[in-house]
Amino acid sequence: MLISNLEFLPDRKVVRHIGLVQGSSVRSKHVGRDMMAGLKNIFGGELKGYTELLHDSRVEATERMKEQAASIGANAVLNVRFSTSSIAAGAAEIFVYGTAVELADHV
Amino acid sequence: MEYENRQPTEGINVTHENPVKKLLVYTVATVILLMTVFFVFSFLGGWAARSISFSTEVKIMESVGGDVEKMMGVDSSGPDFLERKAALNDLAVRVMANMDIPDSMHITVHYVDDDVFNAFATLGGHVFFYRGLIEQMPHENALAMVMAHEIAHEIHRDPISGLGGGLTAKIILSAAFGTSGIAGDLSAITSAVGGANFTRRMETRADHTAITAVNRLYGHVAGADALFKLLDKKAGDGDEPGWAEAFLRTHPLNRKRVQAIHETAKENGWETTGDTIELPEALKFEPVAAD
Amino acid sequence: MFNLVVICILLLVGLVFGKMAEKKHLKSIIKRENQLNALPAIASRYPPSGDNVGPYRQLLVTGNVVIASDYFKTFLSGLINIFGGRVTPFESLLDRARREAMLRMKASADAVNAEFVFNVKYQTATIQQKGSGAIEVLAYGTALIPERR
Repeated sequence: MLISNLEFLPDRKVVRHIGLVQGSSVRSKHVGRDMMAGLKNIFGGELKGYTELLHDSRVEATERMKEQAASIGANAVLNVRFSTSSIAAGAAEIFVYGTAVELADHV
Repeated sequence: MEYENRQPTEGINVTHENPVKKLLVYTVATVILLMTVFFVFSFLGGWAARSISFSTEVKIMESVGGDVEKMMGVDSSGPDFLERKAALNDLAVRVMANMDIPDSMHITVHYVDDDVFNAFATLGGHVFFYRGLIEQMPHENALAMVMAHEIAHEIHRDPISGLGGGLTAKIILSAAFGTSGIAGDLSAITSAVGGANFTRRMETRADHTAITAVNRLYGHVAGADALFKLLDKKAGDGDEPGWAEAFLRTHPLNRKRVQAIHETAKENGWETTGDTIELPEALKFEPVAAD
Repeated sequence: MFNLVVICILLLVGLVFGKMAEKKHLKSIIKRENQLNALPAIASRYPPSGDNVGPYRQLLVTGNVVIASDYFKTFLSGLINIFGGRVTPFESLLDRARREAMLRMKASADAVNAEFVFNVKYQTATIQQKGSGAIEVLAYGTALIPERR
């Protein structure tokens, strides 16, 4: 499955647009991590736990989007966009969406 | 088409400044702003509250609480309750004869049979005296000073203007700066410090009015400082209080109050020595152990 | 009184450690930016085309970072909030976060021997966390990896 945030591909032909596909993931860290983050808020610096958390969520959301795309017979998702919203203290939703397409084989 | 990435000059998106200096400037500005807002609205609120007539104040008090003694939980079944209340009122009449009480104002003195060391004036011209305070009064002159002080609060309309001013300032501050976060915390501190400053000034003014009345009543001010000396001893604040405590005290320092009495007496050429009068029988209690 | 002492200590700790961390981070950012300078990250939606370019294999690459503000910055910005105006303490924080996210994206593109990253987009989100500031910056784009045929 090809995932790209370009709208078209220079050397491939899009045969068919087959709909909008999306993936989402909501995650939060356990209290221990939150406490560490609370300490970091005094000293400043990177919250590695949160960086990983959001990265993992994004991977999961992307996987879900791929699954949706595969289920409708697409072999690529183009014009992919990410969106993040924090929905509660320490919990964030990652949303990823794009256009599922059918690509022709290499020209 | 050629593609390359050139590095732009460092720091264009960042303001270069001294963060400590910025913090100091903003802290001072915030404190000034909060204090100004607090004092302006305390003053306006107090002024608006004072413009409510005394009879309206009494009506408000009645509609809220009905019988004041009941509201304050006064127990009238204690020994010699009525005699003690009557003796307090006798003293009140004599004190008031030496004070300039507006015609529309009616002062009611209440006796509370409780160990609490306290006396206070509240809305509607009601003044409360606790047994715990009267017990420790060495003579009538001391009690007369406390009485005159509380009545002075009523004359100055302190209970209603304190309530009106404090409420107005708090409402405006929490509406403008919120109740949480750094601004909220700072406005809460301002309310506490500013409120204490306001009541301190009220106390000083009431002390001044009271000492004038006591001098008229007895012809001298001897013994008038007894309460403050007692408070001084009780609090044990022989040492200088910390600056934070000095800001947050609702009352002036007891030693300062004693000092102020003597200074006022000196300025007006009042007698500071003279015979103190014994308390009336009804207000004498078994000697209590000094704590 | 006690609270005031605690606030002062936290401010000092935040200022000292925050400043140290910022300096160190900026130094490392500049160093890595120079290392990855040969890999262009381009915001254009149109990849190179023509007969003598490509073919390319494509890969969506991302880089993200969550950075916490220090106590000093949070406190000062709280005060600035009262008066309004430029919230300067957060400028350097956001600047570092954006550049770090970009570097991580570029590093993952570099790891697969990409020649360009096209259609680069940034996304910033606040990570809500008991009233104190932490932000996530995500940078993503399409890596073009030269393919031999």
